[in-house]
Amino acid sequence: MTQADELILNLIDTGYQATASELAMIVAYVAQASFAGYRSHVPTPVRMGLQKLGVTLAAGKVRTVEWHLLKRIYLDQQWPVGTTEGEFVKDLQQAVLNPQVQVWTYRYYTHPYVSFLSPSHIQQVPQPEQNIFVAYSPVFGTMTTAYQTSGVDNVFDPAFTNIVQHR
Amino acid sequence: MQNYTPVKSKPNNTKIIEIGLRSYASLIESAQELAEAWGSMEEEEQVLQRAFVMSDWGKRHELGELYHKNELSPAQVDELARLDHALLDQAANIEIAYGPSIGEKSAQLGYAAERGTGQCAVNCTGTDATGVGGDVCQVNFIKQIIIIRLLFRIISRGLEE
Repeated sequence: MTQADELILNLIDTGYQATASELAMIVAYVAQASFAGYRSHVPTPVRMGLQKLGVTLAAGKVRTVEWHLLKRIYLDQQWPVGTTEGEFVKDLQQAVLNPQVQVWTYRYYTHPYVSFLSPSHIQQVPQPEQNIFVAYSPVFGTMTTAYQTSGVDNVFDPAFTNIVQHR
Repeated sequence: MQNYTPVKSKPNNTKIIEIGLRSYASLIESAQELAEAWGSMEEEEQVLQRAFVMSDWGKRHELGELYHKNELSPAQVDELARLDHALLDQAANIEIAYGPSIGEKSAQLGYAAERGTGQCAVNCTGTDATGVGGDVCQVNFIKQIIIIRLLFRIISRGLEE
């Protein structure tokens, strides 16, 4: 585990506010992280939903980043058609580096996260929202989800615990 | 990296509702399949499955807000109520796959009711769909949960005997 991941976990365990230098370290670290490539089961309704729109996924488990991005493009209409995985990850990294980024640590059903909420720069899509939300797992060292949202009220619910806003 | 003009477009509520209902339906319909596969998944996959639906729960929350602003058509209100009932029917699978017990989920869907923007559509499709029924709605939802839990206990005891 890297020093940055240990720091994030420590902040979550203790509930302490990150110092400015710690925050800078976390932002810089997550801004070069990748999105989860772990192969995961695609539920049939998601698979069928994409298929109705002409997108056929390979049989069996699929790299998470792939079907996550396809959902954002075709089902949620939040990213432009044709966005590649590389472009998607760069968009998320750009969001993390946004000077107006809000940074939060919390647990979501016990799993520790650091998340970033930034003004969205992806607006030329059918369903743009004001913000991009990016969740990063210090346990696995990858981004685990990212989407556009109107605001933090539509992100956090009681399943999120130990919430601390660092910026 | 996308190079788009940073002009803020206003999201289309009609489309948001359509997409929200579709996402919510997909989340509920996926629960059984994920619950059945849950034991065979590594921890990382389990975490990713829950992370994947984080946005869908957010959309469900937004649907509740739009419902109380009277933005949903009668047909969409009916569909939301149907899906809330389906969520109850899938309570056990929802808990395995997504984490919340049905009690927790009722709190999650209804917690905004305390702020006057109740989220639950169950039993809110009758005469009081004006937005003032949030608290009533939440109470009805919790009553249903209690009844369902009692039924589960009775059935479980019957099977044990």
